[in-house]
Amino acid sequence: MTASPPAVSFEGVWFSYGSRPVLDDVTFQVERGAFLGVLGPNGGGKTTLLKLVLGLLKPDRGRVRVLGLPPRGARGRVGYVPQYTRFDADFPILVRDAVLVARLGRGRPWGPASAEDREAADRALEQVALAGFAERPIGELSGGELQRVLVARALAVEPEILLLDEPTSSVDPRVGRTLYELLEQLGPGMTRILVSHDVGVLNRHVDSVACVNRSVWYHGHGTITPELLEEAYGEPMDVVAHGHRLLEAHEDAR
Amino acid sequence: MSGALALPFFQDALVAGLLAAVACGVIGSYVVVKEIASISGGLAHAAFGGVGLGYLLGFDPMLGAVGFGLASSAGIGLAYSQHRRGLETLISMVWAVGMALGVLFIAMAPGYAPDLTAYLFGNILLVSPTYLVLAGVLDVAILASATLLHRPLQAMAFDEEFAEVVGVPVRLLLLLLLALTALTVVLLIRVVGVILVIALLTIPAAAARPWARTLPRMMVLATLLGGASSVVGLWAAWWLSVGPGIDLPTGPLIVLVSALLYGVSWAARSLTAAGDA
Repeated sequence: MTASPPAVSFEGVWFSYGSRPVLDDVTFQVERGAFLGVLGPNGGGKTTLLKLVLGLLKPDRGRVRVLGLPPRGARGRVGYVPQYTRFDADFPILVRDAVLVARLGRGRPWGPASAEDREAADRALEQVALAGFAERPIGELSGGELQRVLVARALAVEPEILLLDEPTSSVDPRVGRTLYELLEQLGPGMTRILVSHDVGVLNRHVDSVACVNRSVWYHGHGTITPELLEEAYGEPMDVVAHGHRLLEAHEDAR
Repeated sequence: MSGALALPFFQDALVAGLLAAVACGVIGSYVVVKEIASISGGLAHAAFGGVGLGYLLGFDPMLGAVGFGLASSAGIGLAYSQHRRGLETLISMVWAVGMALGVLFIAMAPGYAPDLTAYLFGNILLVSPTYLVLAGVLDVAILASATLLHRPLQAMAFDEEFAEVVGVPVRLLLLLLLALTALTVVLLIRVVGVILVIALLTIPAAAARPWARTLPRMMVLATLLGGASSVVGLWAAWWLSVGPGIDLPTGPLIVLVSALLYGVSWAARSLTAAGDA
């Protein structure tokens, strides 16, 4: 295992949308098995960072490697939970079929899904406690249930790296807590990269933190301090402590 | 209606309407869930440029429509993957330039100016036996694609980004879907005309959507609703013609019947939703 490349590495990566710079000269790497929390202001480049890892965007300059490969070469080994708000929650599709999309990269694309793929989908649904929901159309689900379907879909890839983009932004805290416990159980066999605004949650669960605001500050420990937040958001944050390791940042303090 | 059914041209029109309903139901469902109605509108109007070229150079105008439709679908498909932001503008340009070319080509064509009403608003009573064969072939191609590639096409329509991330060739699938859309649009020009194509592609599918748990069911239901629109629209045209002696074009009647069915679907959905609550 000594020679195995890091899960994700950025080397001098620059990215802009047209003339609007998003990431400037970003260099960091994420070790395999890490549970990394990604934090930063809206528009600071968090989602862009994930899309570079997924190969959905190409850097203007610099190099992104995923499991030692160009991002497109690592497809099928990376699971992705997109922002839930991007979704058409009324799409006419059954929960199992939505999860089965994860298996399309392997095997034959035509005809019905194989028994093996269906088992993997059902296993993933069990992991998010939605075993009884396979035959339901997603339009009948609550926001929290749909969010868990998206997590199950990413897990059904059986990924080595799992990327999550604000997976709890629109669900109630109880659902969020269950999800974070699941993410903790998945490690260290799976590298997890979690974009979130919830500093308290990041503090309790992740083992390293990256702050993204055009640049990336990487911290190999999970404790978020007011100094670190100031660094990431560019100004002092309104930080209120609730207990010994729990900090809460107000998002509008940008 | 029994009187009308004895007339060969009415029989042909009926078969054409039902064949078109299959293409509409399947492709229209993709169009609605993938939200590419404006692209299909653009393709229909681009196809009119081909109609004009056919008149100008003296070949079958429908062949020109197929060529222009397919070329535009490829162009929009490539731009779709690469320049998402300017897409609406590009579609509007393809839309208007297609019409402009069609009108100019026809003005430049030698001899009498042809009657364009049949292309703009359709005339299903003018379909030829060749048309029926081509419509049947297109239906088979659409059904084969939708059946064989159901899972990847559904994945692309549901969440293009995720599909791409797991390795589904989304660009290729999009080009295929847009090419089939272009062919469906050309087929529908005979039924409802360039200007009303977008209605027959979207209204039956939109009416079917609230009642369908899955995409295949939506397609079946949209086909039935589209078929019903064609039959009722045709029958209304015939009845008005032999009864009160009012001659109305079939295309707009078919579109209005489908809109009526959409209204019924929407009202029924609202009532059942109120009943559930």
